Amino acid sequence: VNLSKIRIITILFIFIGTIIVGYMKANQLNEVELVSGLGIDKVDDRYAVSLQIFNPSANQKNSVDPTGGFTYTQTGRTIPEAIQKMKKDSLKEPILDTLQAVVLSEKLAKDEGLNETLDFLIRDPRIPANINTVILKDQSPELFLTLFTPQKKLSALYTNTMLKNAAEVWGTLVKTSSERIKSQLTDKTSDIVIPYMEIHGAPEDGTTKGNIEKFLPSTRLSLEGFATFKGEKLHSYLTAKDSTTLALIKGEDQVVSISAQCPDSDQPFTINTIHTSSSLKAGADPVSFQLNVRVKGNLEQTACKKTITGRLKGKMEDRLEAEIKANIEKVMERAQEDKTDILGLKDALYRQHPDLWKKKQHEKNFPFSEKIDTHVDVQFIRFGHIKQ
Amino acid sequence: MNTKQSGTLEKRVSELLASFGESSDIKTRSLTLQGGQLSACLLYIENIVDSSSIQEHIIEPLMQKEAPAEEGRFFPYMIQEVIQVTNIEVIGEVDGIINKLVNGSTIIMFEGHRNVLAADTAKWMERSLSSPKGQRTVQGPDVGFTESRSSNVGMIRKFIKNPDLQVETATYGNLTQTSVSLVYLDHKVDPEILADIKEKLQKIDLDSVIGSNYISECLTKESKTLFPLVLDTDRPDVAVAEVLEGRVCIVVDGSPFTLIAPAVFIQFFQSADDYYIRSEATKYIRSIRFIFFWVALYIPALYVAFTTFHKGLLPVNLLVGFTAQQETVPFPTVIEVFIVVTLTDAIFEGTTRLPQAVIITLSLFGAIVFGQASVEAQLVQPITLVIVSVSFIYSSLIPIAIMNYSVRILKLSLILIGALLGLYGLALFTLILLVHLCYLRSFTVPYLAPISPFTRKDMAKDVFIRNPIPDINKSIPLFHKEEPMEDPKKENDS
Repeated sequence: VNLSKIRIITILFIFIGTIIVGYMKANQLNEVELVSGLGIDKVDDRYAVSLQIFNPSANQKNSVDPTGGFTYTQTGRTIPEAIQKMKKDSLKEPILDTLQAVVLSEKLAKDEGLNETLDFLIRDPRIPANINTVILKDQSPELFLTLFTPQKKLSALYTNTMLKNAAEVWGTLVKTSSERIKSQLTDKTSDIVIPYMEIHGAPEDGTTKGNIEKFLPSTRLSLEGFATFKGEKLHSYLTAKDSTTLALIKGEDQVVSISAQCPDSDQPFTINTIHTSSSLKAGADPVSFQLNVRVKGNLEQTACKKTITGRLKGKMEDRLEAEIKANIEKVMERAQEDKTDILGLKDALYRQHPDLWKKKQHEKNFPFSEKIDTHVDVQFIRFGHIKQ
Repeated sequence: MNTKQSGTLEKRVSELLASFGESSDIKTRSLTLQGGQLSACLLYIENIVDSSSIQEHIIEPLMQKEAPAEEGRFFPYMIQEVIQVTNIEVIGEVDGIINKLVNGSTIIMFEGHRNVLAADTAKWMERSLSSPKGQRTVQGPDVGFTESRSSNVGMIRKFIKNPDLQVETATYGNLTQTSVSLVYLDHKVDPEILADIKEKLQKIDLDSVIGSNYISECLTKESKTLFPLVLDTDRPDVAVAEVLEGRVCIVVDGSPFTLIAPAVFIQFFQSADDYYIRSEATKYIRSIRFIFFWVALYIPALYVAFTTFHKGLLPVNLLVGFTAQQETVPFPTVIEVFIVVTLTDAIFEGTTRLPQAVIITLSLFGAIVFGQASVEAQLVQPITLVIVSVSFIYSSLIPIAIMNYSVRILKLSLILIGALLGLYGLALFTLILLVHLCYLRSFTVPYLAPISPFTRKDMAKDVFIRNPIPDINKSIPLFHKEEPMEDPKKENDS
């Protein structure tokens, strides 16, 4: 490279740089407010948007300030409009880069659907792309974002931590970034599930400092399970047990305890899984589905009376297989009643028999009337002593 | 031989003394040769001559021998049969006499002879050998160069017992007449590089040469750069290793630091200990030094850039911690970092150069005020102290201290540009820095060699990791010669 060219390149870079400087927002850290949680609700056809802000001094060493943050709420015809209004309340410029969780109200998800909200979340460049979304059952997100939570100073941080831990049981299903939901909504071959949270106890108590001064908080949060959707709209809530079974059907590698009745008595025994997997095969002519579930685990507790022999072990595996199969069938029935394809049947057919999918996709009852064969295989890894 | 009488002995002695302005340390000693016919006079400068040598090898023989009758055989007779000094010359001109005198010779004048004898009796004040101060090692030899050029050259000779080792000595400095030696291995040195160094040395026109840096700066004055293009070392083993690799060692009288040319970037990360400890053990530390260098350079600037421009790119917990700390301090981060960095440099300067008695007070105040009180007074964020300390500690690990000075200046520039332009600015600065490094030449050798231009053979041996001695000992690194840059205009013409 000629030296004069290097000079020109350098001058060019500096020139571009000086232009860019004008557009760069250089705020010192003490001139901004860090947003931890974003709550979106729908009240009287207007969006009620809540922002939960970190209170940095509460996060300092030797801090005596127990209030981890502040919450602002404003309404507007659009979400950005509400956030814009918030600037008159807020002390400093709120920045959304630090967002931990997005909380959507049940009302918003049920009546309006997700599309408009997702559109905002994806469009706004200030919102990180990997932020998980949760549905809040019954209560308003504003209340949710003002709750005092034990151990974590902010309910948004609390939610984020819970979601991370829930990945052990629910796998990738808890990863609900707006992009991911949007892509599932668009591809038409799968229905989405989003984790939902519930507030237990008297909500009024939860917004006071007293809530976290007790060993047993009177108001607490729980990550219950999955909310099922029909298209963009919320349909129903799965229980925690059904949600875990759903994750098993979806082939997530779970670490979870499953109990069944002993073969010889009405006492239970429990297995702790170390590896689970599943495969959903679509068969053609006639269209049918075959679900194979494999579970490997250690025997954790047993109240079976008999001394354990190899034969009993086989029987226990059978019992467990039957139990898991019953759980799965219950979820399948539920899905067929609700007419939501949370199992991913459409997707399986689309991928394995694209031609059949083309014919079938407009059928009204597809895939809610197709037969699904379920086969469960349980294998004990650590079983303890076996009497020969 | 000119034997024409020009004035009496006494007159000529006083003339010589007058040219030294009757300086009090010039001593004379008159004597008469045996037979009482011929008187002579000795002149020397006290403190730079060996007086016992003068007495035993000059005065005593002179007083015992008779002068020969033949005029023409006078000086050969004196040199061969009377005076017992290894180095002796016959000199006629006054300038030559003066020159010999200041170099520690004893001048012997005889009545009736215009020419004089100059016997080398120099004995310079010098300290004995001691440990090298610049680079310490765990397992290496513990002897350093001294201020004497001749003994330094001798130390190199001691390591390389080979007739190929060439020493070329010349004097520089119109006033100081400092002798400077080029030491190199005849068949290993690259003739082009040697010619380049000699050419640059010839152009030196200085009044005084006091330290080796006087020569070093003259050699590299054409390259405008913050990076050292000459390696200086006070370890004979390092100098010897470099000479064996075909480089040229320049020994300057009066400086315990010898110069190694050419010097490329990677040499400043090679510690002598790398070769004295098993290669498996040194692989890790050699490779990590390069990482330390870049971390030391960039970490304060990245800290400023991230907290000012790119808050969203930091992990949330870290950011909340940063924010909580910044709530309490009065200055923007960049000013704070600048203050702390310059303060660190000030403490470093103080502890390096101030008298011993001041250092204790300085480091005491430095540690207490700087480390503790500034945080408690809510003037500085603790995280800033951590970042600046990390940078300082990492940059101190560069084995050749001279590179540390480049890091310090570059660090400040990076902090400034990080505060003005953020990551964009840092990327820009890095680009310019890399272009500069690629453009830089140390005595015709590309500064980034063998990384760029890339030489697989050399890269595999002794760059980021040092391979076992048997693999690297037998061959010397290639000096990279490039094709001369093609002039696009010429290409169009043809």
